[in-house]
Amino acid sequence: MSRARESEAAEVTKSAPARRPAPASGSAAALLRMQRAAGNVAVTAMVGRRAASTVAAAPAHPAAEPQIPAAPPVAAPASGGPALDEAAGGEETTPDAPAPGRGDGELASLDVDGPAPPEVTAGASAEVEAIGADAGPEPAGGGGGGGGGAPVEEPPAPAPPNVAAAPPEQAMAQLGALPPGQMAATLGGVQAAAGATVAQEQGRLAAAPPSHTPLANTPTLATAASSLVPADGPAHQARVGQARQRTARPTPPPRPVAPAGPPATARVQTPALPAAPQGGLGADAARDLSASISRLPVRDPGTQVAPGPAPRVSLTGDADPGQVNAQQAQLTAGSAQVQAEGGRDAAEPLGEDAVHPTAAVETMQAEVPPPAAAQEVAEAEPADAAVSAIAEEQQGPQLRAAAASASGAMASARRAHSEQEQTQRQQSAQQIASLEQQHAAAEQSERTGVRAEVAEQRTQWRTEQRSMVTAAHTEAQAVVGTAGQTVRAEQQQAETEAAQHHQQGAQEAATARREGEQEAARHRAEAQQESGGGFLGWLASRAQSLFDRVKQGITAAFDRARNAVRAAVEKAQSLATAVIDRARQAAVAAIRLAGTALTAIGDRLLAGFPALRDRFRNAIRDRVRRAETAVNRLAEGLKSGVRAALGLLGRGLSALLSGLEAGLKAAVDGVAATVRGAIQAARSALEALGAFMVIAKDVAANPGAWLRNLGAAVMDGIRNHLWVALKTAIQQWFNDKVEQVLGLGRTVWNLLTRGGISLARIGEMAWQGIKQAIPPALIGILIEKLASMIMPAAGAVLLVIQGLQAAWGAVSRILQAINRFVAFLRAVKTGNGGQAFAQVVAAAAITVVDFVSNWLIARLARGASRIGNRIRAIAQRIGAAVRRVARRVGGALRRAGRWIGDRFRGARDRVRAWRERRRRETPADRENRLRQRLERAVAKIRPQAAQMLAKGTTPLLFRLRLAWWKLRHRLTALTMDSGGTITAKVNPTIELDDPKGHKVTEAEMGALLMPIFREAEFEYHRSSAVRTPERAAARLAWRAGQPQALSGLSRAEQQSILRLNRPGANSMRAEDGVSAGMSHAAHGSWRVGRVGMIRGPGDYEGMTARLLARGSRFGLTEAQIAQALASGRVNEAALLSSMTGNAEKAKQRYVASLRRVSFLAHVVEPARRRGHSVVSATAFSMLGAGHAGLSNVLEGSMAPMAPVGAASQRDTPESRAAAALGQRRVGTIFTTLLNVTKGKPPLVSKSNADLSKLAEAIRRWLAQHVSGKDPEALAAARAQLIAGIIQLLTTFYGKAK
Amino acid sequence: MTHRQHLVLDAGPADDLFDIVEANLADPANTGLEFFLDEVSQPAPDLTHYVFLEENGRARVVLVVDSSTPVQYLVVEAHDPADTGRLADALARDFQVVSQARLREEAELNLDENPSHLVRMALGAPAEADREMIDILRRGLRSPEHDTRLAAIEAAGLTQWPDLLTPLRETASSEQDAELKLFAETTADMLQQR
Repeated sequence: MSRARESEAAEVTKSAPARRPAPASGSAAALLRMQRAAGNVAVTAMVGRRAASTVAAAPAHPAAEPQIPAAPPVAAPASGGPALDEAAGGEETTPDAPAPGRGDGELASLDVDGPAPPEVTAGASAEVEAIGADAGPEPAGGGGGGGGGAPVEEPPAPAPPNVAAAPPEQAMAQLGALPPGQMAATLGGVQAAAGATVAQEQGRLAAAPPSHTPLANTPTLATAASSLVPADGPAHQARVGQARQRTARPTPPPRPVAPAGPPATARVQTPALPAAPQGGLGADAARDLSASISRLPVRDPGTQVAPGPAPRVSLTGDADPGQVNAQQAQLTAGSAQVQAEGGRDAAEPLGEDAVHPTAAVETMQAEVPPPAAAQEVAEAEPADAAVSAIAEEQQGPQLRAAAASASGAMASARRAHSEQEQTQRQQSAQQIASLEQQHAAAEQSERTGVRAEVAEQRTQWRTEQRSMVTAAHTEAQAVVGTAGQTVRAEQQQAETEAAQHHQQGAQEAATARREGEQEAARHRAEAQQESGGGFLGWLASRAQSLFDRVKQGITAAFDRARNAVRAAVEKAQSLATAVIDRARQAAVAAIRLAGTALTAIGDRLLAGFPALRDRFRNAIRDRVRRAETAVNRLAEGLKSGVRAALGLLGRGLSALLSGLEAGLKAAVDGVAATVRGAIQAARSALEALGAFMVIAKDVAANPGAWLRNLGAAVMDGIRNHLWVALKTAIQQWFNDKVEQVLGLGRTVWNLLTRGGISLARIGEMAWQGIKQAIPPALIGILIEKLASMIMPAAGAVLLVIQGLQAAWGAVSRILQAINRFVAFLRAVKTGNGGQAFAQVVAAAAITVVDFVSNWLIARLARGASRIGNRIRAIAQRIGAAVRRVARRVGGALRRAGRWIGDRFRGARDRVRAWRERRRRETPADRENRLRQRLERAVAKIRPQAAQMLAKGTTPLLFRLRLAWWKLRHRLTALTMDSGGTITAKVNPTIELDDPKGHKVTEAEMGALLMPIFREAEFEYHRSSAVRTPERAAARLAWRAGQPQALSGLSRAEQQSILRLNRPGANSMRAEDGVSAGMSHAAHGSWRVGRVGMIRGPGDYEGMTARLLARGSRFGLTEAQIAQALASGRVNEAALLSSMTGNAEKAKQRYVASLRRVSFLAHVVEPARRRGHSVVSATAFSMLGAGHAGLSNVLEGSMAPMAPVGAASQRDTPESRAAAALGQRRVGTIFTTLLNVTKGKPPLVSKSNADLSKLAEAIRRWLAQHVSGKDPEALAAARAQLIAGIIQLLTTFYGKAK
Repeated sequence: MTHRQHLVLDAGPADDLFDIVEANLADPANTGLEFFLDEVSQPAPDLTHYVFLEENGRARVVLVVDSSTPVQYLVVEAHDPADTGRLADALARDFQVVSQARLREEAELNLDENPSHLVRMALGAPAEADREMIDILRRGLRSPEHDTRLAAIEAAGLTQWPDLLTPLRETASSEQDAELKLFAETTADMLQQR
């Protein structure tokens, strides 16, 4: 009983006198109220005190309303039972019962004295009689009364509440507040509420199922970009024109030999001979004749004819070799134009920049179960009131607890469902996000791949174009050379032969001339010889004849000589002319052949470009289509993945709903089972009551009223009807039990016997003595015990019944017949149970007395003292043992305590010293200390890690080991990335050697990085020009819709071609490694002067010295020059302002020189080798940051410019060596970058490029590359590196769009 | 109406027009069309092309920075000649465009002193042949000055006027300098093939 209740009881007791007297029927009610309030003790005390007066007054006022006297406050017992015993016991000391234990010794001493003397026995007998006389009158017995309270009305059973519309946990909570009988009937409603909640959730889910729109954030195209690409490229307009054909200029015939003139002999006239033919010649005549003969010529000028100079081959007209050169020029022009057109072809976008899926963008929904129809829940019949009441009594708290627990479980289930749904949705969202990330990465990779491959194909395309042009030029040159050689050979040979012919003719002419002259001389000599001594005396006729004959002979000889000479000359000339003409014809043929060959070369070249274009366009389009197929496949994969994820989510949410339904149902079922069990148990209990079952129903109808009636009946029976019935039986019982009741013991009895008092006498004596005390005592006891037993706590039907059963068990002997008892109990309801109760009790008065006496004897027979003594003795012994042990342990504890104290004091001192040291520690000390600790840890961990990895270990074990090392060495972090690099961190960071021993040389570094640089640079250029597929589509649309009117060249395009063909532009020809049309974003307006300082790409030797020497004239230091070059664009105004001197033009020329250097480094070199923008930007940034010297960057180990020959298309040992040197320089640049940024503050270039970030990205990629374990991580690191490079280029060069 | 127009800008090569051209073209309020930077190329060290393409591929504007002539000019092209006209007019309103008369005058006045004006004139020349310009170019082609002949050949090639074919041939035939002769022949061939 609580103190509150005790106080209430006391208050009730105290306030009772102030109340007006209660009616008869209210007397029992007051008792019951008191019983409920203060417990049985208060009732018993009150009844006990009233009993005497009531019993005493009973005869006079048998039916009078009991007057409740003022009762002293009743000390509240600790509990009902024992308190009752104690309270009763307190009153039990009042009768003259022998005190237990007391008098045994005294009586024993008396007992040894033998039988009591007669006076003693007489006295004793007298005493006994006196006791009998003192007994007084017997209490008046029975009659009257008959009250037992008012009839008990059965209240109508309330209808179960409708909880179906409430949330299930509230419904369950409402159910928990109901009587068990209504619980069963309300369970259906709770179940319906649970079902409705699940249905509502299903409905909510079905109304708005989880959905996602994959590809919503991914650019998609309605039509694949490749399909927008025209099947054929624009028609080439390049032509190789035909050089003008020169007119034929045949070899002129030789000039005719001049006529020989009159014969030489004509000049010699026949001398004047005598007229007489028979007359002899006189002396004069003879002399004249001789003289005439002597004057006859032996040489004929007419034979002095020569072939003249040999004719030459005239290379004019159609034999002019210049025609070949002219045709070659046509070829050169045509090839330049076709190359320009080819360059445009190769640059024409073919959809590689717009590789995006054409998959439909659709919103996907998870499949969720349709909302379930409301389930019909069978209404349960409410249990009857008795069952409900018993169930309430039996398991009321359990039922409420079960309902409360179920309500909590339902709320938890709903909460858990909500949380799990949220979790599943989040997980699904994360899964989908992961899928989309993977898709984006894969798609990006595909796009990057196709761009890279297409870029390579375009490079190859341009290379083949250049090769074709170069081959055509080479072939043309060979043709031209061959033609020239042929012409020259023909010319030389012909002219030689012509000369030979002329020489031969001359010789033949000379021979003929000589022979003629010899014959002439012979004729003249013969004439002179024939004349002998002279012609004196010769007949004139003879002399005439001789002279004429001689003259004719000579003339004839000359004529023959003339003819021979002429023939020789003409022959020689003819032959020579023929030779020359043949040579010329040969030259013409060779020139025509060369022209034809050059035309053919041009035709092949012109035909080759479209073929090449078709081949590469087809290859690129195929590749683009494959990429489009791939990205479509990826898109479909993403959609499938999203669909699967949504399906999984839908199933998961459905499962969650099922789980919720099951959970709610389980909660309902659990409560239902509990309720059913309780109901069933109540029914069973009720059935087990047997005959009491009907009583239970009576009680259940209105327990309070019933109990009030019960109390009234009991009190009525006891007051008004019991005594008479008890009197005889009690006396008989007392006689049987007198020894026990008196508790005199053997010694006493012996003494009494020895005193002459028989047992019967003693019994009689005692009975007479106590008879007077019996009625109040017995009635008090009866009321107390019966009321406490029969009148259990109000309101608990089963307790009532159980109390009645217990009472029946206890008073069964009192209540001889159950029928009578039940009849009594049945009469309780009617309010007339008093008589019946009295009859029952009276019928078993002996048993009542026995019961009471047994109870009294039990009270008297307490013998716990001995046991208590023994326990105390044992306790004492145990206590002694404990003390002994404690003494021993205590010594050890004291010693341990002292040791601990000492240790604590030592540790405390050390802590204080440590704290003091830390307080005095400078940041440098701290850094040093941490560094030392880190190094010690590294020294310990490194070999162990290497050993573990070498021997082989599991990832889990290694992670555990790392965790141990981290703890052991007090590291902030100790991690191993997938590349196998272990990083330990305290505060500073140091990178351990890769335990697998991978080393990357500078050359390898360059070779590894350059492909990434190329890709990044390509991406940078691409992103700077076209960033979206819409823009790529715009390019395609521009190309596709370009009208014929625009098919010609704009002046910009025309100017480009002309500029490349202009005199002095040869250095920019394609074969020199600079491809026209290379896209360079973000360089702004370049103003490149013709400074001539740099002789050409790759030729940078001595440049630093020249720049420094010239710069010093204007007061520029090396640092200033380095800073001027560091940002990639020379700030001319700033540079000019920092230069000294008045030679403005010279200063501007110097600035132009720096511009040229910058142009070469950032435009020409990247054009020569793709990817070099990154190298140049990095090298010059490090120059600006002071991590590289000017000469080092311009022409040394960190020069980004390609060494001479490195960009050559030719595969020669020199070009290979130059390329290797270039790679090593790249490696040196980036190895230096990694070293200077390692563990250092962020390195930012003059143009605000964050080089430390780039270095970190390179490190991460290198680690992944060396590891080679995780392709996805490697791809991610590569993507990050490319992003970092693009950032660098964007920052360095600016203006990227 | 023509599909293509060339506008020579009144600016030196050092004037960074790229930004303002880009800003102008990016805003459809200026030209009625919206452009984006499509490509930047340097076909030769002294030539930079900034290619702006209309969002739907209907038109294209190329800003050419010729640092050696020096000159900066715009090439305005469109599928629809009406677009070309409107675009060229809008650009001419927003940028200082050198008139053809001034180009002629400058070329004539600086024929030998600064023959690059011939190239400037040719770049801004109309699509159809202009008699006065042809006369100036003829004089340039016959000039005793090497650089003037060189500029005149290039200018003649830039105009792509067939009327200049004969003078070019004549120059090619009479030219003593082999490189210039070849350049003249090549240019004439290109002109002939047009």
